[in-house]
Amino acid sequence: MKVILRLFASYRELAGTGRIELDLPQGTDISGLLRTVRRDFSSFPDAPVHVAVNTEFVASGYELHEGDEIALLPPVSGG
Amino acid sequence: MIELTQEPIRIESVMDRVKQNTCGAVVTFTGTVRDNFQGKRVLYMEYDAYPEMATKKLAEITSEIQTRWGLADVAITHRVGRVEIGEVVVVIAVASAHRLEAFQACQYAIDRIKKVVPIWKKEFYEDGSSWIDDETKTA
Repeated sequence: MKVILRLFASYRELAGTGRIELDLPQGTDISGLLRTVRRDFSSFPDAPVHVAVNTEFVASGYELHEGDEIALLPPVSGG
Repeated sequence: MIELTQEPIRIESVMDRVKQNTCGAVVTFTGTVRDNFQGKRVLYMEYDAYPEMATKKLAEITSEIQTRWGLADVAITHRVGRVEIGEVVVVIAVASAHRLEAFQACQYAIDRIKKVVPIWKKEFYEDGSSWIDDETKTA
């Protein structure tokens, strides 16, 4: 299934892009996605990542669907 | 009223969005760019945002405030992109019949923004730059 990965701040600089199209197996959850990301970008930090799907925060067991937009969010520093 | 902008923020414009004749109090919070961080001199900042989610979260904070304090109105404007030292990064304006609720709601708003809104700042120093996006710097 095709999903869109959005990256911001230091994650975006690490990956060299803020948007990646991924093709993942059906039934992949957030943990599985993060394993894929860490495999493809070895310098991705080990620290826990906040994840949003379609602009809502989700937990690591959340199962992804075709067309989902997943954002990997470092700890925020606005305001 | 929620806005992300690359333009300088006029505090009075944000206040004017909430000010109304039925209210006796407008409380505003203004966040500005400091010239120092952990002993280093900061030259300027850049703000990155996930705009679709940032505006959604800012709108949710506004709803939370109106539910909790029953206020008249809330407006939040946040800069994105490059911001110079001393410039305004965020303005929160809260209008209410009386001042207690307005003060409390305004504090709640900035505290929530700093926790849940997907906006990140990058500081530029004389000898490099750094995203403020890990727990060692944001805690």
